[in-house]
Amino acid sequence: MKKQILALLSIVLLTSSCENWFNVTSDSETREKDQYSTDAGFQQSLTGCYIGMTDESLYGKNLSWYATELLANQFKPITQNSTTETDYELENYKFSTIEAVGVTEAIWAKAYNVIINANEELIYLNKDSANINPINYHIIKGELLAIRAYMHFDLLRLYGYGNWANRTSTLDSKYTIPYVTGVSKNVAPQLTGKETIDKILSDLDESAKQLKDYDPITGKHDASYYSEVNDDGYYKNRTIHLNYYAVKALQARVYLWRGSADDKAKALTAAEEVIAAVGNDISNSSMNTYLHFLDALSVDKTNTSLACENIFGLNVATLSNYITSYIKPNYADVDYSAMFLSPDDATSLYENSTSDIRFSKLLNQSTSNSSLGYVPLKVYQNNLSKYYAAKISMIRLPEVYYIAAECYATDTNPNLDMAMKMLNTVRQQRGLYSDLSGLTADQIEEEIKKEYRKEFISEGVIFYYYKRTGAISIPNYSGQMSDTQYVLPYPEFELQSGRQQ
Amino acid sequence: MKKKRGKMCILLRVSLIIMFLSLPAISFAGSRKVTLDLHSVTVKDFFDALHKQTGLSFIYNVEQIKLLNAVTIKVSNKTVDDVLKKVFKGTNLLYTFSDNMVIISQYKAGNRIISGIIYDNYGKVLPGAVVRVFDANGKELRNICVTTDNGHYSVEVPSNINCVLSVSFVGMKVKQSNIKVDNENIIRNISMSSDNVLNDVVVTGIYTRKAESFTGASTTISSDELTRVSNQNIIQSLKILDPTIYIPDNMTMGSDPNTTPTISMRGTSSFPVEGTTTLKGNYQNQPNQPLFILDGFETTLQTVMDMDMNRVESITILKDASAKALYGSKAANGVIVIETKKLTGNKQRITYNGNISFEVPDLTSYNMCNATEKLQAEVAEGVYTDSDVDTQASLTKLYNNRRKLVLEGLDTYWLSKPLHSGVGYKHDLNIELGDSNGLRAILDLTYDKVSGAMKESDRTNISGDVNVSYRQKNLLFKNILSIVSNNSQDSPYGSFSDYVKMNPYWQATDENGKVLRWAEDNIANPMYDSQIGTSLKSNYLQFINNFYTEWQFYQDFKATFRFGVSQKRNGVDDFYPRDHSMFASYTSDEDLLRRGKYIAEDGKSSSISSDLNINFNKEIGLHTIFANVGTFISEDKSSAYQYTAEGFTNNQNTDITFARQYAEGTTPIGFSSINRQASFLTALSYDYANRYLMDATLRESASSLYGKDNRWANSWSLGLGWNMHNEKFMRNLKFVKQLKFRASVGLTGNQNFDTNAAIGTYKYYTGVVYGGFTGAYLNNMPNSGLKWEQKKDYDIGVDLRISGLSLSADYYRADTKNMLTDVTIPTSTGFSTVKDNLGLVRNSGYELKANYNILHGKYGFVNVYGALTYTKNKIISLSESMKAYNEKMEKSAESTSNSIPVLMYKDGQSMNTIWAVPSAGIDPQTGMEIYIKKDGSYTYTYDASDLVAAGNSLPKYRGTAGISAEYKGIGFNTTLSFLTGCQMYNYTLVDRVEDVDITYNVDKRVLYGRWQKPGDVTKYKKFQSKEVTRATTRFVQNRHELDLSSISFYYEMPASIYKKMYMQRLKLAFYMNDVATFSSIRIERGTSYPFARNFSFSLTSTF
Repeated sequence: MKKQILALLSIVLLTSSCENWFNVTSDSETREKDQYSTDAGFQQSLTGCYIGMTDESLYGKNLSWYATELLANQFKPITQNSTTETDYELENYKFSTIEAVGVTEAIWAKAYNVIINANEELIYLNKDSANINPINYHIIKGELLAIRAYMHFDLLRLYGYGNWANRTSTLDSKYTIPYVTGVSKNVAPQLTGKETIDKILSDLDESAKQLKDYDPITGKHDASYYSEVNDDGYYKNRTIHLNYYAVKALQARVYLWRGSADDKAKALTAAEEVIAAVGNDISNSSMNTYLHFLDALSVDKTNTSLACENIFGLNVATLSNYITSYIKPNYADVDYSAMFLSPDDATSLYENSTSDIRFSKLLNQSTSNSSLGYVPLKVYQNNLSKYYAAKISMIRLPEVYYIAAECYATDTNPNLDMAMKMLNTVRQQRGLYSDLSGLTADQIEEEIKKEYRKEFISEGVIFYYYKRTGAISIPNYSGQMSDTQYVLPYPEFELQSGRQQ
Repeated sequence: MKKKRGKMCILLRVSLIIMFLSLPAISFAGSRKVTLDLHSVTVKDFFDALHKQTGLSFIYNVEQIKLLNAVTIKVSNKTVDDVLKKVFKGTNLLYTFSDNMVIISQYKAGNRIISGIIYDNYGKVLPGAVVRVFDANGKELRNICVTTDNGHYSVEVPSNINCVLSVSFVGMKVKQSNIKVDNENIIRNISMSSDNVLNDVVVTGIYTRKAESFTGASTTISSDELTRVSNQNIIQSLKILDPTIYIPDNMTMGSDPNTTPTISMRGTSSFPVEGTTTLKGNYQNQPNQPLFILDGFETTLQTVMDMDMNRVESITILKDASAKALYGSKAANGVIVIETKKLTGNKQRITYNGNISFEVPDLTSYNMCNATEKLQAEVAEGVYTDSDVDTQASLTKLYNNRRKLVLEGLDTYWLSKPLHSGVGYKHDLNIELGDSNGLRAILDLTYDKVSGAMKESDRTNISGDVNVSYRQKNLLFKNILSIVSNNSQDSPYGSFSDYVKMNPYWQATDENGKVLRWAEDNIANPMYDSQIGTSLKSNYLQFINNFYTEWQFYQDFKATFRFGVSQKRNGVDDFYPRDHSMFASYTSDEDLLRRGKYIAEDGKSSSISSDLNINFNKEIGLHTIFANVGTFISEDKSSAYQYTAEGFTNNQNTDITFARQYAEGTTPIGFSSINRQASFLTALSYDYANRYLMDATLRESASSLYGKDNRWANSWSLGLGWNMHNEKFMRNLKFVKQLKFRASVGLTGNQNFDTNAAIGTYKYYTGVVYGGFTGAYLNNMPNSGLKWEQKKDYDIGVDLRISGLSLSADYYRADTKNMLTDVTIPTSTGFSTVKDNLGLVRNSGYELKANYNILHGKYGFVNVYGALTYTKNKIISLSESMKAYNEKMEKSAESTSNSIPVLMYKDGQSMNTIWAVPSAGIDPQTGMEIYIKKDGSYTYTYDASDLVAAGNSLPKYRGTAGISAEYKGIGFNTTLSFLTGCQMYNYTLVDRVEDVDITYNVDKRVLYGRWQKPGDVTKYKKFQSKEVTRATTRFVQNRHELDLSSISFYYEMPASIYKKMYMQRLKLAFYMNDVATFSSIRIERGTSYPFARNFSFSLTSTF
């Protein structure tokens, strides 16, 4: 009898000690392990990273058409009142106010959240590599590394110091934003500027390596090669993912940020690879992937977002909600937050050119108010056709040409013709048919600066341009620009945890 | 209502359970008379002759009676017993009577035979009881006998020594009977009593222990005590009876019948769960809530609240480690074990219990202005003065209009508008089906409608229970099935505070009593919402089935197996018609279509649990050993979702299908959780000569809530006790009945957290697609090192009983470590918080409990009782992890819109500290408040860095005191409860005296005591102050409170009355609860729902 009881007891013991029995999760959540038990799970998490980037605190709002644009003082200065408190403080670099702290801390937190999501997936990707279709494995890995590099690079550009090329030795050895490669509640150590940029670059190198032979955008393989992994169309529309060329363009951006002669050479190589590919027309309609210049005559109100020029752009589903009170082509005087260029600024920026479609088609003069300002239409959604709607540009073609031009012009052995050729290519597309010629290197740099300002309204690019070049005075802001204005403060709790800025 | 009451009167002629059934006399077969005249007949003929005359059957072994010679006898009118004695004299035969049988047996030389019948204390024979024989030294003699179907036993014992018979039976206390040295065969009938007789035992829910040898701190409350103080619900009675259980008054929800209280025992140690969910159902666990065990299975507070009190047999509160460690990782907050009634007799019996109760609103804490006073206050506040001439003219007109109405007698008492005296009913029918061949059943049906003090707020429970048990030899099967259907409704009148703030010169109804849409121009009348079909309903249906088996499989071994399932489905339907005032701001064409709202919610939860326990109980001489090993396994699941629809074309369309769309900007929300657990238990206790006691428990538990690294956790306890009264030197002190010292230490866990924080989980972005694809994201920072929250308890106690006085005292200290906290982490980790184990919080205190039986006579008794607890809570180390949180709180304290103190957690302080800036009072010159800075200087500027621990909201001392008496069936009981040694922030003074919105009604104190001109020395700042009063020591007030919590009377009718009505019992009772509260603080109690006094009548009768 006793034996029977003991036997019964031990059966209960054995069955209940089974570890798997405890591994349960409620229906509304999925365990990591289950999430990554299928290829689709990896794809969904990758998509999740991009969706994370479309958050209002990142590229859905702050880091594209809103905060970074206000920091660059692109528009007519905003009048301070209770509804425009945040706008005003950003425009005037009052980073310690509650409202501005809200913005800067949210950017930091969400950016690292995206990084953690990428890291977590990379951990599982490496763990389960054998069970994943190799195409998925390489492309997803490449994209995740690129996302991680992209986010860190923008954190570095926001919370780190600019004008690197002119103070290399200081910034190379100064601690900068933490580069996080794992998932842990313990903070990642801070590295020096050089180490951090090297990490960004090595992630990008690895990313390019993974993507090079697999990314459909390179056209190496025809569509049938992807039939197995692409039957739901996951690998269509490559420019809303960090594709191979986007990684190359990003490399160019990063190298130029540091800006040593050696870096510039590498930036040029990367930029040239993109330019060459575009020259060969890499658009692929069967994969719904387009990457080409929109020529001046084709620009109309249905494509003002210029999305086909995005080497990488985000699909921000709720973009039209985000912009409501800021981008109003027919804003009224009471729309205090409306973003617009004053008529004088607009005409002087575009040098009185009416043929420049960036003035004639990408701006809209509002007449329903007293200031008669020009409203940028790049993120305005109402008239866009399907392909062009709900898209935010992250790296757009002209930037690659500008980078190339800058590299040619400022090289120790400058190639000014090539530099001008790069600029002229873009100008032709914009309706400026009179080519630049016979300029000096300095004049070319001046032209590049103008081009940045003309081209990238509402794209969050210009602030970084000013910061990179260490511009001391910028239009629309009366004060002098210095690190105080250029460097966003770390969240207070990071500083309390011993971070150095 | 009249009709209802009439019906009730008919039903009320019924009555309840007889407490003490007298033993039915067993007609002794041996006393039957016979007349015989036999000459040399065979033994068989002799028996036949007896059979003819007496009807007795004779059972014998043919071989044995061969030894008997032919029988010759002549008797007249002698008993059978005498006849047999005479006939069997000189033989080694023995006879015993059993019902209608006479059993003849033979004994060996030197032995004798003890025989008899084993029955329970209701006179029912017990087949299958085990009778064993021991010598005086406790050595077992090899004589075991199991009773026959007739409950008969017969054992041989040696004639030359003293022996002990030991009878055991499943569910009964082991009974011992001494047999002295003698040669005579004897008949000894033995009665056994059920092993769950209160006071003698401690019911732990897993097994039952003799109280005398138990080293834990526990309180047992019988059903009698429970129903003596209140008949509302179990929790209400517990609150009155034992101050260890702390249920703070819900200052917001007052006496709302649909709000579940927060309960804690021996202090709080976990942080409040941040209420992020808008789900209405009760899904989230309260981290400080004790564990509830109903008939051996874990249950919820709501189930206990909705349970019929009459079903309760006993409640045991397990307080210290030694008592609660059995429940291991869930027991940190204490355990409340509820046992339901078992069958009390073997006859069919019907008991009816009827109640009618009244909830009468208690508005004594409100002190609002009447119409005249309000106008006066408005004038003083400068409402009717303006520098602009035109405005002044219209203000004067407004004032005159209002003044005219007031002079005409308009003085609306808004407080009473949404209130009434709620009349509730309860009917409970209990049917005992008696016993047939070991099968017993009890049916219980209850209808209980509680009607709250706010109109149309009520709660109705209809429940049915079937308790079936079957006993076969050494096996016992029991099954309890319980089904509860609950329907509850919140008052459509809305929040009580909306009425409190209404100005008395506004009108609620017109001359004809019709409710007005507007109380004055543009002032919505809150009553109107209740007239248009607003409906706030929720319901649930619960099914619980618990199955038990007990098997006395080998001598001292008993196995129990339990299996329980429960299922619950609940729903919420809230409908706000299109004319509801919440849509008053929906004015655009588009918004007009959005008026009307419906919130629907669906939830379900289920649990399955099972356990197997084997216990061993043996006395060897002076040593008593009890051991238990067990294994437990369970799964709990719950899920709920909610969706909101809007746009109803008219007020009458009350179904969600009439909605135009989902509410703008909403998606269905929901949650789900699952928790699997397993554990192993070993418990051992040892007692030497009933003097030295030891209890030890070890429980190893695992839960799916925790990470792989820390899945298993152990909890343990060790208790020691000394029954000094059993020592030789104490035996002479006859008046000391008990003097027991106890001490225990142990570690238990807390699991009241819904968390998957140990592992990373993914969620999907809802409502967002990226390029046509859905995305998933990591939901939390995984922390695989997450451990169980643990509590280490120390307890020393003494129990003393001297004649009429019984007293027990305990001192305890409980350290909660590894507290599960949302620890702030730098966001560069990707998340802003992580669930982690940090900190140490200490609760300590003492508990005293006394009962003195002043009188105890044939006709009645007088008893006084009282209890006192002292509780202290201190954070030992925590503030590092809460640094960011505390700073956030400081900021929020300084915010100009925050008028209530914030919660902060700092080392050395209590978790219930009230943080406020020290105030030097109101400056008589300026009428502004002067604050005292840390360095002692004065300032007008409020600075959160000056915040000090200004008070503690946890009462240090709480207690109850009461008296109960009975004389000739008439009983009386009253209980007072009190608390002191704490502070409270008087928000009424802030909201209704200082930060008043003069547009609405204010506290009378506005009129007096506020600063008006330089030189005024006042408590309250000046009128027309624009600044919000932030947390200041000025409003931290000492709180002493005395509650007359219960008064009750009952009359147990004498037999002369109930016998006439064919009843077995008839009892009438009257209760008053929450009769009065006397407090040192004048503060509005029950802001959203008022407090109520409860009066009720009850009638119990048994047929």
